[in-house]
Amino acid sequence: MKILVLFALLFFTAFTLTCCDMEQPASEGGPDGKSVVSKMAGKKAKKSFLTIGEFTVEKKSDTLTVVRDGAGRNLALVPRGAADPEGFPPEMIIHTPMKRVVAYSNFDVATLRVLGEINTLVGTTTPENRWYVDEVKKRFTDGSIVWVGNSSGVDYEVIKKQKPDVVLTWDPSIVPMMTELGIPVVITSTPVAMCLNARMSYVKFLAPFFGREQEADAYFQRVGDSLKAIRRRTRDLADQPKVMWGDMYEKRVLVEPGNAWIGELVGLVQSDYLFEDVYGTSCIEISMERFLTSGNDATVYFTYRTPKTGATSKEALKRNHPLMACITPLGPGGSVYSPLPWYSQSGDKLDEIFTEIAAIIHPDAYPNYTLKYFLELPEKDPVEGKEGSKNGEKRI
Amino acid sequence: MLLFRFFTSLHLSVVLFLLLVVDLLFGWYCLEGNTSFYQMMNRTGLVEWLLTFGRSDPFHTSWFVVLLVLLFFLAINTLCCTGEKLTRLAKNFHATLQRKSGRFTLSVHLMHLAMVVLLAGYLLSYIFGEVNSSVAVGDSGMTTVVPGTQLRLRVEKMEMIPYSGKGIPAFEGRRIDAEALLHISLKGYGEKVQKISMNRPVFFHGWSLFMQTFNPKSEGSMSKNIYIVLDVRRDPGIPLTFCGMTAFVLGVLGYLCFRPRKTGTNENSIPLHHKK
Repeated sequence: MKILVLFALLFFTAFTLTCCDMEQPASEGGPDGKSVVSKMAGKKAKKSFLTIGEFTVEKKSDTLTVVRDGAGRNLALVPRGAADPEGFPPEMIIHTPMKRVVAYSNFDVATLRVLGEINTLVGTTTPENRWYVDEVKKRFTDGSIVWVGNSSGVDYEVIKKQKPDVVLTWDPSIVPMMTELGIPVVITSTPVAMCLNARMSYVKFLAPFFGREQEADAYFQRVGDSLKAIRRRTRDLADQPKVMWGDMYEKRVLVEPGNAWIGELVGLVQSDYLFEDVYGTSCIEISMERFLTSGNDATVYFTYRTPKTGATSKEALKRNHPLMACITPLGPGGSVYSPLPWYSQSGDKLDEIFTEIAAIIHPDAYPNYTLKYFLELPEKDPVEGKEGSKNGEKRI
Repeated sequence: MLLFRFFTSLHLSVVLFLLLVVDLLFGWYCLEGNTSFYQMMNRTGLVEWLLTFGRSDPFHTSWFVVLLVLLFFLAINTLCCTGEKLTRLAKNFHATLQRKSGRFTLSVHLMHLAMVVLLAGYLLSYIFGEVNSSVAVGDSGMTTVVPGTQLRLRVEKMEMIPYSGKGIPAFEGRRIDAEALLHISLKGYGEKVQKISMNRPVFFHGWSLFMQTFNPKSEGSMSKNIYIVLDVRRDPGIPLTFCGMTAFVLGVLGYLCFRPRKTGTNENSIPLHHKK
């Protein structure tokens, strides 16, 4: 019996010691990437296994790296010239470095820019006239990149003609056809929204596809430094604004859940995210009542709509959805922000975007800050012809 | 003998349960907001998960390892206790069966054994199970080969089940389920056509196919492509788990049928308000 008591005591001591370790700042801890700030501190362990949200990268040997994509499929990355590994069907083997890529998501294209591999892009589902990235527009003009069709119905013949090494997509339905064509597919979206760390480290997931791990580390460090700077600037602020991010549509209400990078970032900049208790996928549906109740408490509201999709003023939002008129930020003096069209294509400038969100939430901490990715909505629609370049002339 | 006495001790059970409570409290802390970290175990299996996720983040894995150890000891403890009692009962098995109280005692032991079998079934599933998650099968008539297997899947017909109620206006026009006629073939084992939906898995020569999701979810969905996503598993733990479940249900039934009831109307059994 004494042995048992001793065992219990040992376990209790170990548990207590482990709990002591839990007393870290709120921004640290957690495999889903809450340890953002501590990871920035330079404690970088060399691991052969890396988790990035639901993505993983496992370096098995010099000639084999196994990555798990957002759908949980294992793909083998093999250097060009090396023998194909056993146990992987041909459509799950990718020869690196990749030279030709088709990408659905703007964030994937932005990640290619981070890695210095934008020249590998040969096809996208966003047509030329909706791009704000000069490099992409230029490559569209010289014919290096083609529009492969709308994401809901891509033209497989065009994709085949482009001879990509891989297709980066969120749509698993193309996998059977791509397998038939012998083109590997990587699913780059996940069922659960990307947390802050996953958003920042996503570049580390794509890096081994190109052998650009150093560039990925440097970018991660840069974004991490910006987060540390944001934290330093905001941590002692007494004011704690309440933030909500989402939108009401005709029959649905969609918001960013608390586990998404937005929710974590808002918490990191000394403010309350009103949907912190909501967990799940990005753009998750909640009840209208919940949205309106949180809206009464909110001080800052970020809408999903861009000026091009109707978010030109608070009045326009109210007109679009009269029920929304009762939320505090849409009232007089309230703060409503809309992403500008190039915001979704600026995933390679996460440091700037994070800083801008912090500056919006705490304008006093960032005096004279000029917004680049968001637009503060005026009370009423601007007079025709005075909008200037705000709605879509910018190039990034 | 000393070891057997140690494992049949009631004190051991109590200490194990207390440790389980402490461990699960820590587990509750670790799970909070990190569910996707543990969900990966469903895709990788226990051993690979421990060697990859577990090794890379021991802080969030430790409680789970401790849980496995504690459950192992609890299972041994249960087996030893039940074994000891059953050995005693077996000496006079016919008499035990004839007595109602004897059948009640057997039911309780059956439930205990069933719990151990259930745990063993799950352990087997997570150690030896093969998982191919997120296998997309479109309705275009294309055949999908499950990676790393000879299993070929094709959707022959697909029907979306819309929300037909009136209670939730936001659900009008939404699809709440999909029914697909799935053609499955496995080299050397023939083929089969069977209906699959969210709550209707398909079993085929040791393989279990579960519908994970489907698309499109509504009439006006942004993504128009029609497909289902399946989780394909080969799970050797299923027979054991079903045995455990059946045994547990029988145990519960026995417990309810043969539980001793007080009969007669002695003074102590009369409720107070009936007493004069």
